[in-house]
Amino acid sequence: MILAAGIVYFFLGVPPDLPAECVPRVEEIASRADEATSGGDAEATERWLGALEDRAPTLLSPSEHLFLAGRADARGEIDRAAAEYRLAAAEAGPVGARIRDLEAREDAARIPSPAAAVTGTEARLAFAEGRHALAAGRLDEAAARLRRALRLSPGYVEAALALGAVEIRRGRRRSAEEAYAAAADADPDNVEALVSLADLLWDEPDADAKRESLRLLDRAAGLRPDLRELRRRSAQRWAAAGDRARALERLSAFRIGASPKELAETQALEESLRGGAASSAPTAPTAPTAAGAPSPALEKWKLARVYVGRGDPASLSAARQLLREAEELDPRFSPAPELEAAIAAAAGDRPASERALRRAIEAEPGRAPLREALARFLEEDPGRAAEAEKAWREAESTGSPEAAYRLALAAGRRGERARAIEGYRRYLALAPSGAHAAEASGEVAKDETRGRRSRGAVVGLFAVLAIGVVAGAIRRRGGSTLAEWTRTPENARQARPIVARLRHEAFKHGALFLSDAAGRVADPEFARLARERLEGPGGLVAAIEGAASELTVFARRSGSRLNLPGRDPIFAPLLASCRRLRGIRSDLERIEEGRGGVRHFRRCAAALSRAAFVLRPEAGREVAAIVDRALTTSARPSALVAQFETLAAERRRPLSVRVEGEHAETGFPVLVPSGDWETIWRNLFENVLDAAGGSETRAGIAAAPVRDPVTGRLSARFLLADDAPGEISDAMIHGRPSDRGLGIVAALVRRHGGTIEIASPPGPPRYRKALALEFPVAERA
Amino acid sequence: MTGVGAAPTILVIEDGAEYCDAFRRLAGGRARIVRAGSARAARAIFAGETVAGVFVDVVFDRALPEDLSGDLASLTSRCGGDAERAAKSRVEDQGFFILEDLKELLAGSVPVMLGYDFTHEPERLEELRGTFPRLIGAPDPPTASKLLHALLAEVG
Repeated sequence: MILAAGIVYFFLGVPPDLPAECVPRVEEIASRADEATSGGDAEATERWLGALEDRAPTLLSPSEHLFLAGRADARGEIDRAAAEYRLAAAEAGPVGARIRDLEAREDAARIPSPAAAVTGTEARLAFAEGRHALAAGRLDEAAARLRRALRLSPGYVEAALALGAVEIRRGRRRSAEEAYAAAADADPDNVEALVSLADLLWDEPDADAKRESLRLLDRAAGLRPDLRELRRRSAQRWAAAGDRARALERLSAFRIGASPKELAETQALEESLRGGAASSAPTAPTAPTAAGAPSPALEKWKLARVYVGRGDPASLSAARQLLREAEELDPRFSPAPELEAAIAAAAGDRPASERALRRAIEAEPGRAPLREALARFLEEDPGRAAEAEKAWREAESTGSPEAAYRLALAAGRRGERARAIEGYRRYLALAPSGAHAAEASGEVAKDETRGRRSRGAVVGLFAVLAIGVVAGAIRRRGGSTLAEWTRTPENARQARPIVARLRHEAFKHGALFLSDAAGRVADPEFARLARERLEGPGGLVAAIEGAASELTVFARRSGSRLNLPGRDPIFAPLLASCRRLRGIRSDLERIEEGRGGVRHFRRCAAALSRAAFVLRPEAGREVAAIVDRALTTSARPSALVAQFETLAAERRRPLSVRVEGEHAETGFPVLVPSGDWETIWRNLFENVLDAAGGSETRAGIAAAPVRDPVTGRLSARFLLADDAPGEISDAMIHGRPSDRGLGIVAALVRRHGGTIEIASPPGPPRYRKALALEFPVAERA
Repeated sequence: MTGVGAAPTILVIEDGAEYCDAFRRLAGGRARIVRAGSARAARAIFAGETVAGVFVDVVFDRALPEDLSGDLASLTSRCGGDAERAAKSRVEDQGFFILEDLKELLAGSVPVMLGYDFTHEPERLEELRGTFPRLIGAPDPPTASKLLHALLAEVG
């Protein structure tokens, strides 16, 4: 280890006696390794990579472990990645914690949008473990861990993608679709998500899914024009969908710059699309040999392209030789003009290079990369700036985003602001996620702001004031509170798990900690702990804001608007507390660093104790009670008997029904909305009457409180027994829900957290069969 | 091993380290705080030293499935065959399953605090006390110092 560290220091030029913080971070070593790789220096690459691998683990900070984990992950070294994630997650002492905090702050500063959630260490760990389980073939475990990663960090695209892959292997197409859709939602420009989702949807039988599949695939192809395979796939699918025009369009795009092999592969498709006619004048060699047979000419041609890419004189000379040999073997492999141009340029023969480029453009006038290459070539000569700009304009007319960007830059340099902005807009339209997208968006946004400013400061001031007043009023008055929204049982059902989680988090991270923190905030160690508990990915603020956001999303999906920050009597103070807690971040940092003063202590103590008050357990209980109220039905066995008798009377069926045992008048507060409660029992009663036919039926209903032997939790168990002919089977209970019958009853019961099973009838021979239904009951008010 | 006159050992069973951290900072010399992430780990601690009191967290959503207590098959059967619900219930009520798992160790004279608010379910607490006579719920409000204070008061 010492030797390894010595080697590292030697290569880094850092003497071993320097303190650890002077040692370059692994990122720097990795960056040098990457530089060496791109410079083609294999020896240096190996040396730097060795230094990276050998660096003593004890010297690494959590962030460096994370960096190494990400690197290993990208290279498919799952074990290594998982180990590094674990090391990153482990406590690394006060120095490690400090570094982690600093990084969290940097991340927070870098990422302005809350939608781009910082992926926490815990989520990354869950993700790495999920990938590890996937690699080991433990699919169920992989799915569970990846879901956990997504739960911890809902916008975690990589986790969603991996989950999609796992679900496909588990044969769960619908779940895979959901996972890929989640990835695409989180990152609408993620090509992998778009393509995977498109592939799954393409296999769906309905036409809408296929249309959506084609749309997604085209979007992916538009985002990554360099992945030409996407264009080919798109062409094939449009052809399968019967749209010849679109298929041909995509195919033409694919064939630009295609290798002879690729051209050969798509020849049949093109001919079939063109109605059997031969393709028009291919610009590159077509299939030199029969399909499947190796072609020495093709191999030489491909190898030549690789050598041209390297650019050094020896490689160029080899490329020339290879091209000559390829042409000799098969005349169709005459050197492509762009290869000639590249060879000439690399050899310093500018006139030959220009001639070759212009010849290539002449052969393929619509090919943007050739025009871009010519424009760049002309740019290198200061005396030909006008020609270069003209070349860029021509390149832009072929749909080159790079050209749009260059022209915008040039216009900006000349002070032609409007033209520059127009160029940036064009660039964004052509490449919304391109390399210069951020810069272009920034320029456009700046221009819009400037435009707004120039429209008159006075009008703006009045407008801002008016908007502020109106927005404030809307914020306070518009939308529903949680209590209003959860009056609908379906909404309450969706809100319940979110609220339960919030209650737990508030209990564990909030009320548990805040009161103590408020009292001991002058202690630097406690200030550090406070920041961790409040701000971390699994911290209190994330729990509250996450719950509010989840509820708002559910509400939006159901077509309503929740106004939790503005109106809700419980959530408004909770979210206000979150804001206040965020506000004391810098004070806590000062205290943590030993630079805190009385005013910092006071501010922190006030915010923390106020939050502690707001987050008292009652807040959690109140939220839970609101939700429970909407779900609760007071269920009395005697009322069920009456309901059964009424139904029998309506259907003119003879029935003798009674309450068995105690609790005839006990009202069990079951957590099932009244509508669903009635549906469950009406279906059960109708089944009994149908089975009895016209003959007289005896039935009995019993109810009793039941305690879970482990948790002590109370539930209510109902028994329906009858003497009607027929049997009940497990298949009837666990089968697919139909409009009527046990299937729908079982689905409704499970939906509300209950269970249904076949039971022994009480007191045979009076009854022949029985069903037992168990429901959770609300906590005592 | 805790000797005569030494600070009592409080065992904290939780999936994270929140309670443990807070208790260690607050306890000073009054108690020695040890942590276990599962019933199995807790059992190993019990085998090695005298535990004066136990604090058990309830929700274990960060623990590995293999570390969780509770037989999933029987729980699934109790949930009417709904395996997903059974797994969720095992995670969310894990504290109760740990109590059940460690019944032979905790059912005697060891004071046990469960990180659960029983304020509105006194009958439930009474029911559990039938098995764990010295079981207490979390005080209201459940601040770290109140939790520790209540547990140390039970330890005596």
